[in-house]
Amino acid sequence: MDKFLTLSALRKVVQLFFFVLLVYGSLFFSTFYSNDKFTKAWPSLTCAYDKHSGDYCALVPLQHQMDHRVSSVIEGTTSLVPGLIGTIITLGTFFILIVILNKAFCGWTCPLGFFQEIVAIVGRKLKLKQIKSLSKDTLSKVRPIKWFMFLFLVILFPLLSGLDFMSHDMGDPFCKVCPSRILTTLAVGDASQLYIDNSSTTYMVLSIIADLLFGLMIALALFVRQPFCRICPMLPLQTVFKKAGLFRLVKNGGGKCDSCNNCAKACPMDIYEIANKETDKNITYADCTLCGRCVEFCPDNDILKLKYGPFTVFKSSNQYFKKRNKLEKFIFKK
Amino acid sequence: MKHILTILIFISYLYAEGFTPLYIAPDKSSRGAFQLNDVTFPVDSDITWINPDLEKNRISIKQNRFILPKKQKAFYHLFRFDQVVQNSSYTAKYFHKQFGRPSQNSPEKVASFYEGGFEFIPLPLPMEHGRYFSSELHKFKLLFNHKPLTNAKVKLVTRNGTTLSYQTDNNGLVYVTLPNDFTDVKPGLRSNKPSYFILSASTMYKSQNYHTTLCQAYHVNPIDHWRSIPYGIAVLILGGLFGILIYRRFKNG
Repeated sequence: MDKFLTLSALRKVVQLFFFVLLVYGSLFFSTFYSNDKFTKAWPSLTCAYDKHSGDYCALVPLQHQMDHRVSSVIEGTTSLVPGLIGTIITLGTFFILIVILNKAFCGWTCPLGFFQEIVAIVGRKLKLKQIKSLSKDTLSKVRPIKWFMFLFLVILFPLLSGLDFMSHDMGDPFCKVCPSRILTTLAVGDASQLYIDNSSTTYMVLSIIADLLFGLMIALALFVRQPFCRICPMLPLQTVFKKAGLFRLVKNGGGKCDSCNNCAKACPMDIYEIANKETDKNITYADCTLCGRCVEFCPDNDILKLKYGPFTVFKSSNQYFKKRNKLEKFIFKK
Repeated sequence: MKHILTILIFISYLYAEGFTPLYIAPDKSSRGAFQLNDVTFPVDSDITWINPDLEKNRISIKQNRFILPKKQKAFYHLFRFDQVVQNSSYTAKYFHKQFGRPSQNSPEKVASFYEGGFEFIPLPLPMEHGRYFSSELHKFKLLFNHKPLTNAKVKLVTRNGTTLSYQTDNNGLVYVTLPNDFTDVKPGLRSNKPSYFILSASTMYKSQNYHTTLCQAYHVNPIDHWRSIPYGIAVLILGGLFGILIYRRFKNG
């Protein structure tokens, strides 16, 4: 039994728990109403359109605050404190949550991230040829997209919409294209979010992008690891606060690291920078989801560590590496 | 004499059919104002107003209208009108959605607020930023003196002219599909004004007639008009096929 007890297995259990909690949570833990959600600023993609959700992500209120409140402060129709208090509360809650779990919200609690991992397992079981890692050239093109998504779809377009420089249809453009909206509503048996909207050109374009993106994400997830996570605007928002996070990935390579590159190969987000030789450095990069796979697949003792405050939660070891490799072969090559 | 007889026959006919007694709805002519509609007797009672913090207040009615004081907390406020006229007792409810500083209380508490009497309880109200939509199924509980009223006739009337009849089940629950009865629908939610549905029920207890209504706004359902799920599925499949093309390109190097 011990051979199956791995960090990845534990993570799958936690992911499943949070999938149920966030997608169906109002059926068990809270009520149907938004005011009763846990935090209203959850740092992973859980959706307000899902009528049974336990919580909704911070990007939902942020877009609405940009559209309705921050824009009215800029216009001068609302004074500073009442106009910004909502945004301050959302970002304050988000900050506290990041301090507690940092970017692990992505790797351990995101329903969409979990779904992509399940699709990836299906792809491997179907023996589809897998893209082990994206090239540095591809990564350099893909990585900036998430910042574009965050700055334009979450901040700028809603703000311009509120200031009447753009159509009001652009009040929550990220929600309109977010695959999590379609996934989580489908998961509760509601197909009403899988639509093409012909009420305006903007809505039609956004709904086409949303459905295309969802279909593309499922197909890509069969052979590319975490395709949507790479462009998710939640990562930039987390990155703003990540330095304050107690949970972090630390590398203490120095002379001990063999530069085998296993950690970079294991990383589902292809963060090749993890393989760089560092001494006692926080290497929780912008794309890191703190999944811990790099630590699992590091063959050297004490090089990579998942730390919580001053405590080491999990660290690389040769013994664990052998066990993990054996298990990986057992699951996927048998 | 002939006219009086005709009116009496008409009134008794309406009563037998379970006519819609008075109900509360927003007054279109003024923001923040509400109106008692279809009142057939002089009103001598106030509105009971339960705010999101569950504080109970009274608002006076003038010419069948009342106004909610400004700067209220979000989200649901309950207005309830109660009056006894001879051997008939009337209750009308309306849940008003207000935006502003959120209350710490769950909207569930206002939605299920009940102190006895004859009332519909929505199970639940739409989410704070949601709405009632046509073609959707909604559940309400009919309570009488703290107990579910079973097998009672419930009538749904809309301002668009639809009348539907339902019956409560053994738990006092009634499942209502709001009718898709909007005409001249234009694409876009903001292009269409809401209509109102009125749920009503009557019962008799110890020679006293009890009438209750619940009125709420409902909107055109986009799925019935300008949103297409089949096209959505087609585009999703297209996205999947695009992903497969990428896979084939990758597989062939």
